[in-house]
Amino acid sequence: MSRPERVYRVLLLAYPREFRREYGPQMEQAFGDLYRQACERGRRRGIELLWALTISDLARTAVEQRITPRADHEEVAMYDRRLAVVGSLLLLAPLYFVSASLLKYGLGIGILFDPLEVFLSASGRRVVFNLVSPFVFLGGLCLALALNTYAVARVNVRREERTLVSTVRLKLRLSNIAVAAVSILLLATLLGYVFLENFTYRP
Amino acid sequence: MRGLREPRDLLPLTPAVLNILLAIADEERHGYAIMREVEERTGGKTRLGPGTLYGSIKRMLADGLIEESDERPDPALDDQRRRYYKITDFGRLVAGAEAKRLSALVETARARKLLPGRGRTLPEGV
Repeated sequence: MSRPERVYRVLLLAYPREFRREYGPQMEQAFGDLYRQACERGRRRGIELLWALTISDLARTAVEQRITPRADHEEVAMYDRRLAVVGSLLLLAPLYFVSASLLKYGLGIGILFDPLEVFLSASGRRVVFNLVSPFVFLGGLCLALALNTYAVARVNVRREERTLVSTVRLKLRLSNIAVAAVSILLLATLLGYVFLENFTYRP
Repeated sequence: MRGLREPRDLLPLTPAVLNILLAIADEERHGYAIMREVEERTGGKTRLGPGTLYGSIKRMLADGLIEESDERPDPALDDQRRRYYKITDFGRLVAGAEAKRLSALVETARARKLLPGRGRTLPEGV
């Protein structure tokens, strides 16, 4: 394999993995053929033109491949399941904290909150918790909501005949909807608590 | 999904898709052969880069315009990694519908004196 072909192989990393897996070897081979053709013609300008065409083609089509929805439904389904799993993991910490707080201060049941209280009683831990928890809780919830909203309603923007066309594809997968719904509920609870705590009238 | 589609649903075709359909209308070809055919037929005015070619091929396979060929025209002379593509019956219908659409546009341009009449050629540089 010549050096330009090796460079092109590296440039192919700009494409999504599944596209590369399907068409990468053929694209490498096509580029190699084009390069050999340009060399046989023996003109430096031909090689420069080939690189110019290749780079502009790559920049345009790599972006296009990254924003167009995947054709392989199995892969999309697996991707959506992964988003649901990642979203569920992101929900764990805020779900635990909100459930523990509601049980403790709503019903007086400390089974979840008391271990947390004990854990935070060690010196320095509460300070770290107060600093980190807003980012972990709110950030995690926003991320879980964004990822799973994307899985349910995919927005695709593509260029057709010099016009930008956008489409929204709805996919009602229960796991993604459930994660998005729980995220919204927890976010509403946390933000509601923050609002009440800071803006309640105190005579 | 494909069975419910009409050729006109896919119109207008992008220049790359139409050129690829034209390139494999008479014989199946692999990617590089398609690029060469397009470049030669258009006198070098249209060059498909690998990204445009395989991005279009991916879409065309999904739309049922083309399919991969199981046969190799000359296996002894060819690289095993190459994949050959051939036009489907639906692809022929779509290419025909697009040609008809473009032909109607050309006729309109001719009627409005934007193009010379049949048999005449455009002046140099147009």
